[in-house]
Amino acid sequence: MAGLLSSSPANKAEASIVEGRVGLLLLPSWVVIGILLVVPVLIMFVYSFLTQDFRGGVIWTFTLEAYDQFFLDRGLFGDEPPQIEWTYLLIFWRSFIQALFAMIFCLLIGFPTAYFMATSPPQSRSMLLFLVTIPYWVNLLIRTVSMKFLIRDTGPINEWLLAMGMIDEPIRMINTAFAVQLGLFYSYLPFMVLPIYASIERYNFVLSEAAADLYTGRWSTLFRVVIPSVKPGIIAGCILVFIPSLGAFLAPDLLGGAKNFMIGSLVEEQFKGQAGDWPFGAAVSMILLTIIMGILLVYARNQTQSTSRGH
Amino acid sequence: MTKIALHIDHIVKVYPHRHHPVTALKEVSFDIHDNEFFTLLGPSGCGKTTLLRIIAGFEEITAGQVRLYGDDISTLAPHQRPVNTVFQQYALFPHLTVADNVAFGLKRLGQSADEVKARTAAMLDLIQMTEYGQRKPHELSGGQQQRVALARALAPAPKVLLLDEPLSALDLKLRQAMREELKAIQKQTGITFVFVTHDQEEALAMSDRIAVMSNGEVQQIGSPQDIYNNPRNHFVANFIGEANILDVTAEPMRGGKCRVKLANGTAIPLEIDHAIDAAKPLSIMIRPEHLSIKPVGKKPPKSALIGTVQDLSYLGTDTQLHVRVDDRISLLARVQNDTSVEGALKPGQSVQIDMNLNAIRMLDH
Ligand SMILES: Nc1ncnc2c1ncn2[C@@H]1O[C@H](COP(=O)(O)OP(=O)(O)OP(=O)(O)O)[C@@H](O)[C@H]1O
Ligand SMILES: [Mg+2]
Repeated sequence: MAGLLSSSPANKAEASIVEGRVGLLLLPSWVVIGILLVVPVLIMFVYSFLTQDFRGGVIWTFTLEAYDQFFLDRGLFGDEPPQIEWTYLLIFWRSFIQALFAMIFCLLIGFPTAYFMATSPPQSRSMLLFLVTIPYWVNLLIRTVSMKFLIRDTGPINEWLLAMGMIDEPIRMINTAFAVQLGLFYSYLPFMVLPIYASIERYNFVLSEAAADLYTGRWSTLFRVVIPSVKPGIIAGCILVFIPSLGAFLAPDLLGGAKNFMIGSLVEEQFKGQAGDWPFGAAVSMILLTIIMGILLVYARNQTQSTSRGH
Repeated sequence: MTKIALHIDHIVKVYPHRHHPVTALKEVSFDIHDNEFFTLLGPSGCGKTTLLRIIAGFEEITAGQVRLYGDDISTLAPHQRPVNTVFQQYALFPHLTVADNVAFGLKRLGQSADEVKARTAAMLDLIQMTEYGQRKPHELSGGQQQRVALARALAPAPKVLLLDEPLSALDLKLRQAMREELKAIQKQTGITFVFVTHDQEEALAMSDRIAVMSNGEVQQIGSPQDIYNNPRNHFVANFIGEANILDVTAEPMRGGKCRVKLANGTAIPLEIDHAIDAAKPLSIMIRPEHLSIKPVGKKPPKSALIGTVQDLSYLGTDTQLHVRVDDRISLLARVQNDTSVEGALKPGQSVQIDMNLNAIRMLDH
């Protein structure tokens, strides 16, 4: 169409008018993207290079102090030769592992759930979708607190197991890595289910028949045909679970206790109350952002390479 | 004796529905011969796809049996049946290249890498798409996707190949080219083809034998010539080509002959090969090209059928015309355009209609 339009000079002018109008129509989305995405990140970026004001907030003096604090250990008084600071790297590492496992568990449970939903009769699908989203009507904080009540030593699970005589003393669940895992899994499961559901619903089941017709059993069909075909949904789900899990602070705070401190809590602390260190919080966020962008870029690069190679 | 590839034995298929179950096939029975290009032809909803899916194993049978070279395969899962399908919308695996699509079944059958490679190359050669091996399905035209689907299904050398309206998504020119190609590939590979279509022209052009279906029943099975020239009943006569069907009364005569009378009293002497029940309502069928039309002469024979031309349509090689004899009889005729007659015909004109008596057929109801 565009090629046809630009074939004569008169049409070319017309085409650029059309283009101009389209540009105008896109303006609101650029404004939204700018205000909601770019500006906040830019503010954080700038703050991470400023000096901490001890009453919270910043002093407008350029410094690398925040990044120095993150990566280097200069002793208690800051006068020893710099060594690598492990405290924060360890928190990052722990957060990545937690987020990775949350993603894996969500995938293992979410995929079959989504498959079941998408292959149910159309009349019951909307009902199932509705059920999946119901927990979201309640605030995440409240849901996480209820989870805490559920799994604490004197919670219903332990009480029931004790009453049944299956255990002699309560199983320790609260304030463990397991509890954090459970919290993350519960918080973000729908983010896995919904995109996978959408892609399975669009999947052409004749492809499964074609595979069966070509001597492929059910499991083999699942791995060779269904999963590769719905891969975009799986990847979207994984990203949507992994990234918020990485920065989550409610589940680690409320369920994990002090031992299971994660990036989200670290950042949260810097901005909460009077004692916060804004530049440091901003620096931690920028480092996290850089790592995530790095992962996504590597992934996107692999993706385009493999499609252009035709595999 | 011809070997029987597929024996369809009293197959009944009822789709369970909560309120009103649908009977898609009512006790269908027939044989498909080895090496044959066999076509299931019938209008939409007559059960062609259902029957094909039953052979492939995608639908359960309500009653009856499918035998493949003597073995009952009714209870085997689709992936256990040595039968492959070319799907209507191709159903190529979008994430695999053309070559990997073609190799898919071979790999699942556990062939060695060398065998798979050689066979895939041979198949791509067969469909003349050797250079396209590394493309993805979405980078192909509809006709090319169609050919890849064919190669993928042929690669494992199935005992029977099932094709569900494989040409219906193609445009006319391509469809006609693919007809010939399909037919040639069938002869070349010697694989039994079961081909589904609702396009009678396609069926006549390609098939060794045709089963005409309607309403979940087989109406007639035979060669294209047989089905066209000797339709057994109203449905077949009407569905294949065009037909004039006239209600008659019959009076048997001696020596395997009988005389039938049209509604307007015109008598026609006929040779018949089976006894007729004169008490039943009967009808005769004659194809438009077996009527000859000419302007009424000075003194038409008393027995001649006289009618008025209603309308003419020019069809290139032929002209088709409707001729009205009286309130009850109206005939469709076809005259070739290189004859002297055609120029002389005009709407409203009185014409004499002569029937080629050898082409008249008695129909069962
Ligand atoms: N899954 C199903 N559930 C219920 N009824 C069905 C189902 N599939 C087919 N039918 C019904 O069975 C009958 C035969 O359908 P079938 O698909 O075999 O027809 P067809 O001859 O292939 O028609 P077409 O030329 O339109 O493809 C139809 O009345 C159809 O409505
Ligand atoms: Mg069909």
